[in-house]
Amino acid sequence: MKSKIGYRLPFVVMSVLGVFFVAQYYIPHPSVQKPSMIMQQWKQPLGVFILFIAAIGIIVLHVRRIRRKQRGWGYSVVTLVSMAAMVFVGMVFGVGEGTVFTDWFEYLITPIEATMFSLLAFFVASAAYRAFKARTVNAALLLISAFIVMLGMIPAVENYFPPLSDAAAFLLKYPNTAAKRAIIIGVALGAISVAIKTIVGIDRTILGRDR
Amino acid sequence: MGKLAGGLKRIGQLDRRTVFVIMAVAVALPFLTPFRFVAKPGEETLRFDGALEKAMAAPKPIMVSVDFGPQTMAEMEPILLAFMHKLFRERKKVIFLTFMPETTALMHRYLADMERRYDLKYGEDYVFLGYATPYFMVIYAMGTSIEEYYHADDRGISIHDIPLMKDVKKLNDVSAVISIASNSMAQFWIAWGVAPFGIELLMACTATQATDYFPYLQTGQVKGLIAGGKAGAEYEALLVEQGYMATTGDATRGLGSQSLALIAIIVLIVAGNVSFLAGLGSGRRNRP
Repeated sequence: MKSKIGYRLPFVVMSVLGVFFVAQYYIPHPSVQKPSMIMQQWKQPLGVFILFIAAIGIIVLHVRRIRRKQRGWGYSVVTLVSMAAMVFVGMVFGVGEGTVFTDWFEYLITPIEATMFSLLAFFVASAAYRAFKARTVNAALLLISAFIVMLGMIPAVENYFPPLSDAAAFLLKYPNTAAKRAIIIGVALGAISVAIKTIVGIDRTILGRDR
Repeated sequence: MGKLAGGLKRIGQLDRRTVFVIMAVAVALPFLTPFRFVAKPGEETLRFDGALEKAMAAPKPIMVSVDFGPQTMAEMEPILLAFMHKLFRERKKVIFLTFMPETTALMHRYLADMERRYDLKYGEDYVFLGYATPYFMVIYAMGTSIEEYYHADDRGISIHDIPLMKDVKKLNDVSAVISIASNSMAQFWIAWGVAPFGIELLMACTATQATDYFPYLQTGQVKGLIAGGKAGAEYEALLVEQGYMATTGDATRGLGSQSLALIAIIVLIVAGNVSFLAGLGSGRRNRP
């Protein structure tokens, strides 16, 4: 009995809410919109709890690495100390303009993150040099398209050789957009199909493996 | 023949450190020389500007959703600053918000600079609502009531005490929303703002994201799009032409690096393929 309720209750809640949230998108009446809004606001405190769980997860993971002296455990120490320091200065001195927290963000995190992302250019260049080869006809077509689009991004090419720039614009606007649109529609249809299967109970994997 | 074969073999076997040095030179060189690439405003840039001017002509504020972090600052910041110059020079009232916590610190800096430069009054000329989550629910809720999620702004001032927000109760009370994002936030604006409430959406994104948004631009769900550093440089050139900026900014400065880096990548790929097609490539020897 207990297991039946334990199985049916989440399924009923899921199905009813699934139908409700589809309906609220189309019914602007306050009797539908008000409860919808209240339920949507529950996500904010839920989000805070998720952040809290994520923070605990990071701490547990890195403490374990340090205890076991796993390879690169020194980085875990840096992570934990940095995390604790940011929390400390944020809570003690505030997070507004002109605070230590903002200064650390501006002069430490900003350049570090920008540097990490900038390094991508070097790895992309190296990977393209080694792996981007015309091994097949399809790969050759991809290579030619990439050349045209990359060249089209250079102002000098645009100014002195407009046909190449026009070809780049054509590739981006037509073949690319057609493929992208097909992917968007395909993904949307897939999402609708999964949602319907979940709401009507055909797909029950969301309730756990043994369901 | 043997020498040629050897030469071809060698260009397919460049060490990755050599590739890195080539890239470093390509990226750094334009900053060390006075030479600048000049961008010509393209069709998309003019379309964006036309849509922005239309929104500016309406007697309602404009909402700007800023969602990028330090990682993509080099590409996104010049675009944001460019249209901020245009909006504030025209004394257009602007409501800023973000769905990324790290954007908040960046916004404080940009807004402080604009406030000094254009003598703006917080709460009257502009307001920063700050960070809110979960983003898609916030967008959808703002369609009927902004105060459902934003009870107070970034400074903790109640939304009822902000003069600029007096007549702005929901999304349709702004003339347009500009989403400047290096993540997929614009897609949420399309799904939860444009589709249910019919808001006018303009957007700016990174160059790599541009292909994701062309379908929405063609359908008219997005009214204008500025994508990446090159489009940013085009927009700066346009604003200089229009008199909103005295000189071009960082997007134009970065365009030289971007162009030379692209040329370097093309040359490297050609070298790799020449070596490969000559049957001499040994791409497996050195891992990237």
